[in-house]
This record gives sequence, C-alpha cells and structure tokens, in this order.
Amino acid sequence: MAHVAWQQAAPKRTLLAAALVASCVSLPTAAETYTAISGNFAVEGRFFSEDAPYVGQSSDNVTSLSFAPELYIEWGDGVHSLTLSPFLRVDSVDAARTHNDLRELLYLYAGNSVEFRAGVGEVFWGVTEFQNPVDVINQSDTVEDLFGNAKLGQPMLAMTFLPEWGVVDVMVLPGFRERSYPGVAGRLRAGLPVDVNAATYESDDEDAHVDYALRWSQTLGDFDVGVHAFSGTNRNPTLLPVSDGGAPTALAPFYAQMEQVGVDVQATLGAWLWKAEWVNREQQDERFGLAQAGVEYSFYGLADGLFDLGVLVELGWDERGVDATDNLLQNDLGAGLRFAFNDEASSEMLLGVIEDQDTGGRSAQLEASRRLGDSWRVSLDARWIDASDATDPLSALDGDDHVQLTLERFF
Amino acid sequence: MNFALKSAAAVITATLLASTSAVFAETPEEKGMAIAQQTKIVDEGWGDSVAEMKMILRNADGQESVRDIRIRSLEVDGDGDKSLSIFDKPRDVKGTAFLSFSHTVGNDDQWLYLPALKRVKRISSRNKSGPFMGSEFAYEDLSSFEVEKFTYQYLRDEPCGDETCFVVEQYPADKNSGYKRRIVWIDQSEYRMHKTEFYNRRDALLKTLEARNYEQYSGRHWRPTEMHMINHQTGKSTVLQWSNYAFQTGLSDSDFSQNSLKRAR
Repeated sequence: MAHVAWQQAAPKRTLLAAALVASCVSLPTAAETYTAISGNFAVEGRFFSEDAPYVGQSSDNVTSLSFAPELYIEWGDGVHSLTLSPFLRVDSVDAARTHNDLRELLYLYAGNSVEFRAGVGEVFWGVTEFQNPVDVINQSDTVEDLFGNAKLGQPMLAMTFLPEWGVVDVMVLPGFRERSYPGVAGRLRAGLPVDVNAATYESDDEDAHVDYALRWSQTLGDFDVGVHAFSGTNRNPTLLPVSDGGAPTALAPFYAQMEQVGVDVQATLGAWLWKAEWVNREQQDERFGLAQAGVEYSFYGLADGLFDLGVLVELGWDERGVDATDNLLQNDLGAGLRFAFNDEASSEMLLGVIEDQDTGGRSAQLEASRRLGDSWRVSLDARWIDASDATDPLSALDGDDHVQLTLERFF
Repeated sequence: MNFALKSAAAVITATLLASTSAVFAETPEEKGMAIAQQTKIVDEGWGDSVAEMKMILRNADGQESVRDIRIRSLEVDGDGDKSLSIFDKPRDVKGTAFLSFSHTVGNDDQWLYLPALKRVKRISSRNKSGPFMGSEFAYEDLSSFEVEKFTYQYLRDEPCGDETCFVVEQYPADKNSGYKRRIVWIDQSEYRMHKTEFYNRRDALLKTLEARNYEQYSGRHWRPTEMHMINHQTGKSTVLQWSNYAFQTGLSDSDFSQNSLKRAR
C-alpha cells in the first residue's frame, strides 16, 4: 500500500533532507530571527453519483481531513531562511489516500546575484492551464489532485544565478519520489489498482538516481520565456499489468529515464494571453514531441462591474498520438470560463471542458469557491466524465462522476 | 550665511519666481500640467520605501472586513515606479504577492505569485477599473501617479482646510480607465493631494477620496496616514491606514524581480 511504502521510505528521505540542510547552514541565534507559522485545516466530503464500478472499490461517500501547516524562519536580514511544510491527510475510505508528505524542508540563501536552495522543495515551471508538459521537477500527488496540481516534495540542491540576461537555475535532484495512487478501495482509479510496491525502474539506481535540470528564463517586454533541459527519471510512469500467471490483478508503475529540452512562452498583449509549452523528449530509444498551447482573453467589469470573465481555449498534443497511454491530453481540446466576482468574499468559479479529439471522450469540471469571514473558505468542485472508448485512459473513470465540498480554515 | 549658500538661495528664489510667473502666463491646460509635474518634482528622490497598508472595507450596513498588505516601492528614473505587495490578510490569500512595473507610456507589467501552486503568473494589466480585493479602490486608484497618464485642466484656487489648493481636472489617457475625469485638490505649499473626485464614464460623480494626516519623511516626502474612499452610488466605503513607513531602506532592482516575488514573505 502506498502509505506503508511512504512510511518506510520517510526516515531515509528526511535524513537526506536534514543532511542537505545541515551541510550548508550556519544556524541563527534567536535574537535576529523572524518566525512565522501559517497553514490550513480542511474537511472535505466527496459524493459519487454512481456505485463503484470495480472489484474492491468502496461505494461509500468519502469524508476526509487534511492539515498543511508551514513554519518559516528567516535570519541574517532575510538572506537566510528555512521553510518547513508537512502535509497530512486522513481519508475515511481509501487507506492509500491517508498519507503524509514533507512538501518542503528547504534552506534558502538569497544573495543579490545568486540564490542557493537545499533540502526538499517544490518548483513550478510553465504557463498553460490544463497541463504543463515543461513542469517536470516534482512528482504529482495524484491522490490529492488527478491533474497534477498537488505535488510531492522533491529533494534538491539548486543554484540560481541572476545575471542581466535572465535567471539561470541549475538543479541537482538526488532521490526520486514515486507517484501516489488511489488504493484498492479508492475511486478515481483504473479497473486494476496500482500496486506501488511493484514499481520498477529503467535505471539500476532506481529511486536513488540523481537527476539534473537546467533552466533559463527571462522577461522580454510582453514576453515571458523559459528554456530548459532535464536528464533523469520521468515522474510520469507507464503502468504495466502484473499477474500471478493468470489474469492481471494489478498495475505496476515503470519509471523510465528521459532526456528532454523544452520551451515555455507567454505573450501578454493587452487583455490577451497567448501561452505555449513545448517539449522534445527522448525516452526508451524513442524521441517525440509534446505540447500544450492556447489563448486566454479577459473581459473586465461585466454586468456593470459585477464580475470579470476569462475565456480560454487550449490544445494538448503528443506526437505519439493514441499510443501515448501515459498522457491523458495527447490530442485534447480544452475550453474554460473563469469567473471572478468583484465582491469582498473573492468569489470565483471555473468551468472547464476537455474533449479528446481521437476518442471522443469528454470531461467537464466546475470549481467554485468563496471566502467566509476572514479565515474560512468554502469550495464546491464537480467532475463529470463521459468516455466509452476503451483505448482512452479516461474511460476507466467513466463511472466516477462526483461532487466535492471542502471547508478550509486558514491560520 | 556664506556666499555659496546665499547664491544657491537666490537661484532657488529666482527659479520659483520664474516658474510661478510662467504658471500665470499659461493656458489652463498648461497650468494643470505644470502642477502635475510639480507634484512629481517635489517628491523626486524618494528612492525606495516600505510601508504597511490596512484596508478596511465597509458595506452600506456598516459591516467591516480587513485586508493587510505590505508594500515595497522603488523609484525608477525616466519611467513609472516598481512595487511589490505581499498579502497577509485575509488568511486564505496570505503569502500571495503582486509585482508591478508601472510605465509612463503603454501597459504596466504585472505578475502574481500563488503560494499554493508555487507559481508566478504574468497577468494582464488591462483591468484598470476593477475593484482591488473587493474594495472601493480600483486598481488604477492604487497605481503610481505618472504625469503622462493624464491630460489636465486647471480650474481654480480654493481653500482646503488651513491651506489653499489648486483644483485641477485630470483626464485619463488610457481608454480602459473607468473614469471620464477626476478633479483633484492639491495644496499650494507642499503639493499634497487632499481630495479627489472620480467621475465615471457617464460623467456622474462615482467616488470621493480624502487623504488625511500627512506626515513628512526624510524631511521631505509627505505621505498620508489615512485615505478615505466613499462610493456615492453604493454607499460602501474603504479606509486605507498606512503605518511603519520607511524610506531609503536599500531596496534595488533585484528586490523587484520574479525571483524576489517567489521569495517574498
């Protein structure tokens, strides 16, 4: 089970992070430090419209609690800082979704022309909305978010250089995080559960493989541009059926090595945002391209200033076509409406639809939220999936339409 | 008084006399422009500043909600100022940070840092007239004042408190502004804004802003301690309370970058 694997791995990873941090930090004296504690508690209910489609799955509605505190310590007039952000979730149905993670245990040295980071951290690269092909540093915490918006902490040593001509990040990534998957009882999974203990690797170093990344980014007038190269373990595994000789009983992640270069660019032209991400990847003797590109236009002050409306359209593309079983958006058109209400509760609503141009599979998603008072936020999320073509990985989730209600308390 | 100081004083006096007489010789448009330029000139050389801003929103029923924001600003020679704002309250947006490069001509450059996603997003600066965080201040009300952003017409002199104010009409150059015009009261002793009336695109009085309790920093730079904005059409109001102002704190361009935005606390 995923949570068992994590608990076994945790001491090793924490020690590594602690060693990385300890190796380069002169500890501060109490007098000159600034300390801040923040974070949130959340309670969540998830309600499915249909009974569970697969053997072993629970049809129960899901209640779940999460806790995400953050401790921040700064010293040396802001030049040195340490951030600690653990994450914990307890789930009423799925033991694999009951999990914890060290999202961040990161030392940062911030000089005028150079920055240095060591520990466990989280990095985002990219500009598009529906997926981010260039965002390859952190593993997805898919039991938190199916589309990769939640991430597991990544051990890293990173130098950032800040010359006139841009920002240069050089990253060494010692140690790999395996992706989280729903357990046997959990919903939003394939027909066969993923056995994370059966994970295999292309590299003999397995999860100890050291990865490298390099990125240059710069703002050039209306354009924000990033170019990167990455060499190491692909965070996104191929799922292979495993069996005891008979019919397959589970899926096992296979983590391949990959080398890739990529570009992300956004042009901000008045109310238009033009966005594109492109990657050229070599993996297991195959070289192929991936891309996500689109446009967003914003209307401001509609209905006499009641709300702003962003309209976005994006296309996902994968050169491998329908053979790209590890990519849900291999030829998928996405469209979205983003409503931002100009009220004091910062109410907002996002409506998105995605259609697979190869299989006809469709999904729709609604995310709405508003603040309650000063410290609470309530969110309503709904997902509807209609995919019947068995070659579409999305078809596995055809029976998992659901509504989710979340109440968060921030501190 | 030694000779050098005396002659410096004489030059300043002569310059002031010259500019005053020039003002009188001008058309109302030129005089309005000259007053706007003078408000920039008297404040020039502030370099950089940090301050804390508490925003108190009141609806027509008197219910309040509060936003706490820390603002770092940098003066830029020959262009608009740079600013970095860090949100502390409401708690659900704590850690969100906003970077803005204002420009005298053309669109401002703006980036938003979303801490939950560790993501910096370049955003459109087209949204001039929208309310800032649900308040009665529009984005354009909070952006730095640049002479080139308006055309002007001097209206009259008028008493304002213990002072005498220039009353000047300002017409936004940007067609995305929510205003047809603003009328501004600027005192003649220190060129401080005392009051602004905002007229919407239909030329109806929309809002009135009053700046109160000016304090002087570095012996030179005046900043209000409170700003009161009243929306006449909705009955809602917003008060800005400024505290812990400091100037020349040593901030530089590198403190106003996407990287500093990600690190902002």
